[in-house]
Amino acid sequence: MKASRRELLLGTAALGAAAIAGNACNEKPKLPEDDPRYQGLLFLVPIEARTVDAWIEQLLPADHPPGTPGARAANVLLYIDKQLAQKHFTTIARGVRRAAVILQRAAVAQGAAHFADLDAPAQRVLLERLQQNQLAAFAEKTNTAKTFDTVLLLALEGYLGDPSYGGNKDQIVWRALGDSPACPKPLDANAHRHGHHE
Amino acid sequence: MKRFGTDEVDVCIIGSGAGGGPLALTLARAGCSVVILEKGPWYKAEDFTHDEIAISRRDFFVPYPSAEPHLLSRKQGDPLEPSSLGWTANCVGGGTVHMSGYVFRLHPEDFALANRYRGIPGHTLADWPITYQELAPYYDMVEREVGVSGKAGEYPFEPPRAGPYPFPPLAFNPLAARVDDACKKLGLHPFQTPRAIVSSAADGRSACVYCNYCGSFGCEVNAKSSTAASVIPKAIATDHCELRDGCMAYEIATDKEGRATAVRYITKTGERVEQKARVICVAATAIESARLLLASKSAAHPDGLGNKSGLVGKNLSFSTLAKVYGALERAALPDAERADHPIHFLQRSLQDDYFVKGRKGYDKGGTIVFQLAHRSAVYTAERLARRRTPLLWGEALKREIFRAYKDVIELEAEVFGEFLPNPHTFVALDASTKDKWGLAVAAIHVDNHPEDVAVSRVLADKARAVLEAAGARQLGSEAVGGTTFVLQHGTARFGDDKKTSVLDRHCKSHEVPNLYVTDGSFMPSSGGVPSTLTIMANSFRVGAHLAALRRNGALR
Ligand SMILES: Cc1cc2nc3c(=O)[nH]c(=O)nc-3n(C[C@H](O)[C@H](O)[C@H](O)COP(=O)(O)OP(=O)(O)OC[C@H]3O[C@@H](n4cnc5c(N)ncnc54)[C@H](O)[C@@H]3O)c2cc1C
Repeated sequence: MKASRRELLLGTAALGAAAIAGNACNEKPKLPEDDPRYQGLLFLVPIEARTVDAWIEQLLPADHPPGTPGARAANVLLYIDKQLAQKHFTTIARGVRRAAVILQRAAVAQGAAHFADLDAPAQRVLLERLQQNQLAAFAEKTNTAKTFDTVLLLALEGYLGDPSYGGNKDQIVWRALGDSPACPKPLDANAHRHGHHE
Repeated sequence: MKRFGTDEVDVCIIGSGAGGGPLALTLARAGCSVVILEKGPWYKAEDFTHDEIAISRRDFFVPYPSAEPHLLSRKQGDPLEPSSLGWTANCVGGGTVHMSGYVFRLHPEDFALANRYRGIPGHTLADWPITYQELAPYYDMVEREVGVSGKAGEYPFEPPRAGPYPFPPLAFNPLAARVDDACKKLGLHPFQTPRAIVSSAADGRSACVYCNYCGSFGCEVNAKSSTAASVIPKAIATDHCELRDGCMAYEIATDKEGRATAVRYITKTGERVEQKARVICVAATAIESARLLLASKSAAHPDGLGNKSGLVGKNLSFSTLAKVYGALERAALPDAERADHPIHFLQRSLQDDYFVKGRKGYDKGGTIVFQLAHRSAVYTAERLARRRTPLLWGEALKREIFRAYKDVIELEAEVFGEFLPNPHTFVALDASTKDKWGLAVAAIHVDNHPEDVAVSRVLADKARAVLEAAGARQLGSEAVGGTTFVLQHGTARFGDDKKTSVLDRHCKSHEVPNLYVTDGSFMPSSGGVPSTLTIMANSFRVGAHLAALRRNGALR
């Protein structure tokens, strides 16, 4: 009888961590891109996802103002990835992929292994240049300014939009703002009619 | 709903929005068989959620430029670029479904502006062939049948009206008192903004529940007076009106004599169908109606239907737009004003400068509408980002977003002004670009007249002074001298002279005796107010004319 995929998976798990660790010298080194957050996305491959994740955290950084969630806490990456996978975003998705490559190249040129490994100020410098169309290192024309703006707008949607799309996880941002688009209960309009004149 | 099939009906109307809906109701009540063709889907109130992404940031109301592009040149000489600007809507009810519903009458002087501004070069204004008095009863009719809330007699510049509004004014936020006081300090005369939203239940529609999601959203309780919530259900209830949604009209067929015989359209499933009708009424917006007429070429109409004058698509006008804003610091407000009041409407407008006092030469001003900034979160954040070039992001943007919700209440003023028609603002058919059906698209050429831009600045400064006097700080402005693309007029202007107009005073083509156009196309000047109330009133007026023809056995 052929083992089902599920059994195989369970079997591997049953071998235990020790068995895998024992084999470590045969394993490829674990890459930051192997982070489970970057696996199984619809459009972005892990190395791009890691770039975009760092990028959007700079667009909407945590703790400014203090205690407020950033893009990462709101799952904005998941939102953006889902949007980019949609047919009508094909051109935009291509632009984001290109921009991720451009950022990664620029980071490598500075001696970093990955854009996300740069410290925050260095990431911001590259993003500013991306926004001003000053980073495209390729011969072909790439309007990274337009892509930057689109990613910003998508990030705002993922941050502040309806949680059903994967962003604004558990309404974390609406809760932080103290406002949500829920319809208030029908009012006793007469109680409020004419504001405070009556 | 009654089904007519494709045999000849009395009237076929293209477009179910402001220009099509009132006409349909009038004709159906008169016993005419009416078929409405509407290219967009038929949403129900329960489809209108507050999901900002789905409802106001995708193609729920307006098609993607990849599917149905417009081509737009924003300034004389600029290249044409694909754009979604110039679409009002794509659904049953048209733009009236997701409008804010600020509805004002024109003023009597608006009907004779060409005469008034003879001495100003560079515009192509024309006087209207009718007067305010002729339109006024139909304004009353819109306010009643469609549903408008307001308070008559509050300010000295109010256009004449026969009586009170049929629906009492909507409730408003206590901050309105600040705007009142500020205006009074400046010697101005604020009034409660009339709204196409019912303040009390009527015709099976709920009264407004003050959810604060009007502009760019549909109304989930049918309190907003879209044609889809008001006149269309009433027309269908007569059993004389059929509405076919998802039906894109692409050509009006004519016979050898040049009379219109049928509308050709593509259904949801891609079928091509021909609907015969005695009378054909086009109400697809000033831009799309011009496109359809220009695309309907035949031996009798080689330059497009009813276009011997060459004026179809010319004289396009919009409304000039300016937006001014300022912040009230919550901490500095008295308790009663500081908290989030459940009612977000501010409901104050000004028309003191409908004609700008003391301005020499061109003095046509407009209307200032005050409001609290919309609370849609993505929209709010996007607006804050766009206040800087390049767009704001990072810590600074996040601080602005949280400040907008926590620390301040933002007051806004929108300024609507006359858009002077001119030779460089027009719609043409562009066969080099095709929509998803393979049809040539509308190319929109825009150029602003320096005088209307200058007046927009004057009004923006006035609005700014009011906001400042109301205690707002960190004042700023957006789009001064800008254009409101959803307010469209002029592309088939009416008039008594067939050399200088496309339609006669009844909005009938000068050349095609059974063709009418009833959206904003007929308007030879845009007015200093948003124009939807006028388009609806005129639609009722044309309907009354056609109904009279029918009674006399002359509808053909
Ligand atoms: C967000 C927003 C806010 C607004 N706020 C205000 C406001 O506060 N006050 C105000 O006065 N106005 C406002 N407006 C403007 C208002 O919507 C328009 O003035 C009004 O709808 C124009 O009427 P119309 O008949 O020309 O077009 P519409 O009402 O848009 O109707 C045209 C209809 O024709 C259909 N159509 C087009 N082409 C075809 C075709 N070939 N075949 C079949 N059907 C076709 C369209 O789908 C549409 O449903 C707003 C508009 C928007 C979008």
